[in-house]
Amino acid sequence: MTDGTWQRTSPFGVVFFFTRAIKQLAGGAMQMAASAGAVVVALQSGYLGWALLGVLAVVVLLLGTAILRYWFFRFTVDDEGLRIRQGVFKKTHLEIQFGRVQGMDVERSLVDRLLGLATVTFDTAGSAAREGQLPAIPRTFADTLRQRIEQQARLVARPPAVDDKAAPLLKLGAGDMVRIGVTDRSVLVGLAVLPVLFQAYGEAAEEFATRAATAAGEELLALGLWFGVLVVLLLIVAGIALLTLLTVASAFLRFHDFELLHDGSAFRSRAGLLTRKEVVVERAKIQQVSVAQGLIMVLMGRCRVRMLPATSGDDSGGGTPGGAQTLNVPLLEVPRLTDLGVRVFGEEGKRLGLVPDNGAFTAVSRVYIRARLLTVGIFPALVGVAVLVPVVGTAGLLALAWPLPVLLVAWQTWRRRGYLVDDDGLASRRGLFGYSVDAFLFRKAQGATVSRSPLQRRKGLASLTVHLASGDVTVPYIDFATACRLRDYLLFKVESSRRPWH
Amino acid sequence: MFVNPEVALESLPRATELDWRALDPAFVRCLQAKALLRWVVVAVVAGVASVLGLVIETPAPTLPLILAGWGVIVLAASRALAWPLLDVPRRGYVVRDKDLVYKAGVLWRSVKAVPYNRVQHAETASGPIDRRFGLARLTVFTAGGSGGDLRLDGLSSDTAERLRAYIAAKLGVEAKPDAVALD
Repeated sequence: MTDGTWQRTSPFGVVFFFTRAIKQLAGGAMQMAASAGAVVVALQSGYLGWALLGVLAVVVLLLGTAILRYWFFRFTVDDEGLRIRQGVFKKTHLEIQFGRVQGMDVERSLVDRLLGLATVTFDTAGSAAREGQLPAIPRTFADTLRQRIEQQARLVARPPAVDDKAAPLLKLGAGDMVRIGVTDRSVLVGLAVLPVLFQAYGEAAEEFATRAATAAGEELLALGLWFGVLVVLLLIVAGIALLTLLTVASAFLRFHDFELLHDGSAFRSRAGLLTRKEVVVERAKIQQVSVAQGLIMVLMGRCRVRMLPATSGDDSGGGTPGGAQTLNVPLLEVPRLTDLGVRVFGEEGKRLGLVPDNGAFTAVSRVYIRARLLTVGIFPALVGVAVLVPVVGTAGLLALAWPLPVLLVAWQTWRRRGYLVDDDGLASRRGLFGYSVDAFLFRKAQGATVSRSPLQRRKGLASLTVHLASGDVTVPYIDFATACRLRDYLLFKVESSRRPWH
Repeated sequence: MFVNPEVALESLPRATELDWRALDPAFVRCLQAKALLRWVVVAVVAGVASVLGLVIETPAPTLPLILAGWGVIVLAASRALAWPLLDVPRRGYVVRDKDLVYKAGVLWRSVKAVPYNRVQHAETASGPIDRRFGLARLTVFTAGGSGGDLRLDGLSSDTAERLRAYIAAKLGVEAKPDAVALD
């Protein structure tokens, strides 16, 4: 079957296309509910016959689609790779090189197992929807394909071997768990929820307070108001304490006895109280390192580091079983960042700054503030005035105050914005109260875009977006010439690099 | 022996001054046809709605409302029909030895470059209307999310197919094991 002739899948592929058509139809649960509702209504109003006919028509339609899709689905395999032609009206032609395949997933349903078939999904680290899928092919053929891909993969990478006895790079203790818990962002989310809770229970608390005061005697009745305020304050403190307790507990659950090991070719982390979770990331597979530092973390001199491998499509960094996972270092002292950076980027990017509060970062143009002020501040304020004044009268003019906080925020984010270019890599910094730094090696880039808004064109500026397999990194509002030079240099690095990016 | 020759800055590739290739001239008409089709459907629906609105007695003054609605439709439709005239001439692409460069945008302009040695796979696709105009779309997929993917709309089917084959050939060369495993 690998001689390069075009072929169809087994006729049982129709089953695959049929189920896929049903899944597409049921894409939204809402739609399902709507059609189910329609059926119920039809049943109740005595149109049973019509309802059945309708369902039958839909099934026939789907089956017809499935058969057509099966008929127009053809694939061919040769030494280099796999090609798939499909589509009834809209023809698509997909080409997958074996060397580009990151992984292969063989799925066998009950029907497949009975018939000796398999459905193969190729992970090409490209957009998920476009990944190649071969339904209902003989199992033996699937095995051949897997062998072929493994042969190719062996040329590229060896399985990571981490020495268990090596001393850990980092160990986190109980005190660190508390720090992680305190700086957890969900505390802020919890704070946002508190007013809603007060809305719900505030009245009850007030009533309770008054009743308690009445019960305590007349002299306390005069103090009823103060007592109420005290109760509310206590509630707030208790709420914050409870949330912090929860996040600290969750930190213990997730990161207890955290260990980070490094043996030259791979990083490995082990953590967890009940289930020990182990994450292994090959150094060569790391696309980008992200350092995040919230306001409290800045005060504590700690930060959070994430090593991002290539994501496959819609998987937003969480990591799927079997797929590459993000390695998360929940807490690290800032001075140790430099060492970690050298370990991750090796000789190439050893001067690449990961330390957020670093004078080496180049600021972006001040026009950034003006652009933010215009788009987020002044424009919405004018629209707000135009909409509000006819409705609520002169009070609508208050909308004109909006640009002021926007200006402050824009100025602060401009101060945080910055980029740092090294021979082999780039680091981009952003933030509002804290910092966040994204660093990567040029040769890891997948592509680059230089974009210019009308304002940027007038000011001779541009924004550079670098597309990485782990996401996009943008350096906004830099000189157009600098952006172009950076882009060209990056392309030169990518195109002349003989090393694989993954 | 270790050699480390200096790279002359002038010899680095430059993507600023490029000989942009325009898209197929039929693409303007193709986009206009698609817009026309969409707005004819909208106009038919709006027409039925306005007839109903005039026939059925309502307390609100229907005629000004209907006229205003048609005004909006005519404006939006003419914008949709005129836009390709502005948009398409500003799009362009360059096929270089090592990468594919694409520019687009009327007000917000962007230039995107994707090196062949980062391409995962390439795909051509054409809808029924595209085929009437003899056009096709070439999409070049890179790893990771969709950020790095490059979509070249409005190529002639022949060009799209040839480009896809060219890129596939480039991938084949790059995938050879000699370019591999130093890390």
